[in-house]
Amino acid sequence: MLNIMIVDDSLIIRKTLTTQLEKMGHTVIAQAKSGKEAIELYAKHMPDLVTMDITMPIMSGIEALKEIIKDYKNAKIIMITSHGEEKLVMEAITSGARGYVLKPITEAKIEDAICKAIPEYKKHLDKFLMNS
Amino acid sequence: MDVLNLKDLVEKTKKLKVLYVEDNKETRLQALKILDNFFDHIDIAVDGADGLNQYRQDDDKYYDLVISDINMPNMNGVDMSKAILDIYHHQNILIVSAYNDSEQLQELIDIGISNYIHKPVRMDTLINALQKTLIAMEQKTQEYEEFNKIQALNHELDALVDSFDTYVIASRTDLKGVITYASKAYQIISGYKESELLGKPHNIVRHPDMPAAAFKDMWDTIQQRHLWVGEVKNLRKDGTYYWVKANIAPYYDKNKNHIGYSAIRIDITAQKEVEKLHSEVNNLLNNAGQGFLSFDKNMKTSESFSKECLSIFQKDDIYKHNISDLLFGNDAVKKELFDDGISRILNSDEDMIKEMFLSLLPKEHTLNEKDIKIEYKLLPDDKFMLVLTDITNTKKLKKQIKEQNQIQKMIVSVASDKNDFIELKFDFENFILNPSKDLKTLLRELHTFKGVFAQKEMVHIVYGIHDLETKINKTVQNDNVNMQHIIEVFKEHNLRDIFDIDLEIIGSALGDEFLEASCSLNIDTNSLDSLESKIKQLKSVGIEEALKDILYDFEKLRYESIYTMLNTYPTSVKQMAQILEKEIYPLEIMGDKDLSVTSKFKPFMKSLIHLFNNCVDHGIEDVETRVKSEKDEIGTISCDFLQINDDLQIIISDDGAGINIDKLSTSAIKNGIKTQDELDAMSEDEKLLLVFADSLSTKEELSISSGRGVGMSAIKSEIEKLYGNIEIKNNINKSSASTCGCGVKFIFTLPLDK
Repeated sequence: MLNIMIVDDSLIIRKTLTTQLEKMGHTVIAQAKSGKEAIELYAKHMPDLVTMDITMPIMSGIEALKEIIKDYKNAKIIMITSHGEEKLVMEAITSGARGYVLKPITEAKIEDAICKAIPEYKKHLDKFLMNS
Repeated sequence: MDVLNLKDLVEKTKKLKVLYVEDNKETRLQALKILDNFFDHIDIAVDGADGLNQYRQDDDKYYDLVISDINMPNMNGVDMSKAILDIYHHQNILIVSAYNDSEQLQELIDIGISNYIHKPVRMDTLINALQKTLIAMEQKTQEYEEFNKIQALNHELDALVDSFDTYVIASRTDLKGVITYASKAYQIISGYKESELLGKPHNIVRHPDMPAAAFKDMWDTIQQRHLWVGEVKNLRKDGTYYWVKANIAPYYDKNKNHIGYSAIRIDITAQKEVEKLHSEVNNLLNNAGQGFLSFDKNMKTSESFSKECLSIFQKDDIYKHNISDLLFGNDAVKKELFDDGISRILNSDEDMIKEMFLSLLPKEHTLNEKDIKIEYKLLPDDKFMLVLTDITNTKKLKKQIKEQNQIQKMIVSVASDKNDFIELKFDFENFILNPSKDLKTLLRELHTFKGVFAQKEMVHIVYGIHDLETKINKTVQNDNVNMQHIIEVFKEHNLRDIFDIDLEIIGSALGDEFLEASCSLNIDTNSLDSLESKIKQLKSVGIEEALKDILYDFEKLRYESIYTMLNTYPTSVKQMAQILEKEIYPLEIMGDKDLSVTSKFKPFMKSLIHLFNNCVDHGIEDVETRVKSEKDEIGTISCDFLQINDDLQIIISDDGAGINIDKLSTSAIKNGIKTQDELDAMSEDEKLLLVFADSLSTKEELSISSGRGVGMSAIKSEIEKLYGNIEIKNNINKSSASTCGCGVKFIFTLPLDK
């Protein structure tokens, strides 16, 4: 299972995502409230995956993504977005985001995005399902 | 060729292969003495038969020159020469003749020998003869080469004719259409042998699928001696068919007489099969009711597309337009997103990334007043496929279902408490006709009506009132308070018409009688019996006393249980919690279910909707905050009522954040309700009461549920009408390090005053 960092300025989203991710068996090793905090916490925790809100005050998700990717080329970052932000998501993907989840967030959507972002995780999951 | 000098002559003759035929040994030896000077290779034959024999056995090369005597035993020179020339027409033969052989010599010259010399062989005559022979030989070589060339051409022609026959489906008929020639290829494709075709009318291969009109056209054309070209389906001998593209032309003999028709054909069966398949696929796509088309990396629209595209785009020349203009020409934002997305897809190498971009392209769009669902597929070679589906009706249906559900909710809510609805309708209709002339009262009443109608799920009037509130607030800001103007705004908004929309829906579901009915009372027989006995007892007790008692009983009939009045709130709290995404335990109304009060309490009970809304919205925090504050993550709102002596007490409390006194004070100053000095002189409990002040809201955003700052003041106004009293308690958890609130408690005390 994965060590995940959540980046979101909204408490509700952080809480909801934590609950959902933990239910799926992942560990939320860090939570950042801004893009700036995200960069610091990424270096500190080196998570397997980051969920990144796209619009945040101070430093946007895209800025933070670019900064992280600059130092860690293989960072796996998926964007959390709302309707109407398609253009921003495209820019994020071009900048190295490995996927996106459109709000409202559901476990199925997260799982799908993680599988796409981390193919090894999907293999692991398939194996697990076959054995159970 | 010029006459050669001796040296050059000998050089040439030495290369020649010679057969020398002479029966006389001495003559032979004598001649050889001279011949040896000219030839290196001389074969000797002793008579004609021997000569012919040797000539025949010479495999590798014919003799360049045969030198022969005429008179010989076994076979003479004439017969031998004839035989040799039969074998090889161009053979050079030099005859050595005696003077008495002139008759035979003449015959030999006639059959084509090259030259002759007279006996005996002498140097000078031989040189002369060889000169001539060499010239003749040279000519013959040229002739031979030409002959070979012609021979080769003939072979080529034969091969051409053969391949024409083998590969070209050709036939000829006479003027009546009877077959006179059929190529091998024709025989193979038609399945008939040549013998089965010759002499038969050409319609032996006519397929029943071919319309007679096609043949009439053909005959009309060729009878006018024109070329006819067309595609024909033909019947094979085994009953199957083949398609040909035929060229049929009039056919003439050497003297240019028109003697028939000749036709050549190309087998197009495979092409026809592909065409058929193609048209079947097209047929499927055209009848799928969806628009299929593709475009390339330059946004160039494909020339083929399904029929539905015509009605979606309402254009005949779809392929002339750039796909981006075609789809999103009427929407700059979507067009930009589309263009950007496509260019990002073209610039990325990873399939997963491409798919991700694809999934972000506009999925729905309105074109020519139709709602179109757009699906995208990646094709090879940087091409894209679009599947367009008209979902106008689906969307309409979904909207209708949603409206229907809404209507059902409204009907159920209205029908479940008929009296309440009739009263509400009566009150609201009065209110519309006589709105309060006081701005605060007007806003308060509007707000209460909005809350009550929301409880009844009457959406039209709820939004109607909400819009009116917004309008009035704008007007107030613009020209201070001109009540005249506000009343105009009120009248202009025409709440009556909006209300009628909801009423009409209710009427059509529950019957117009429902709307026209007056309030009815359900009276239990016990109460009636009791009244009856009291009237019977009138005589025994004092009239005055008895009447008072009876009137009291009548009044009691109109009493309503407090529990019933309050019991609408569990549902509305649940709804509000859902809207605001709050987690709250189900509200329970606690108290004596038999405790009843007169209907004059009703407006107050209704105004409580504002308090419950506030509890859900401002009181109960979101889950995260609650967890942080070490509270139960699900919030609690409670509502108790009890009778204390002659008073009714209603206690509503929550375990939320409590009321932020600082914020409240700031708001009060900002809205000019209190000055700082006044606030400083107030106790905490007094400050809390500020929540009931007019136009005070701490909420920054305005929503349909709360934030106008009129709701709470509506409660206060109802309390005052009942001569009641409000108390507010903020529960701060002193033991906790944080100053987080532990909720707030509202205590309403109302005299029952019988």
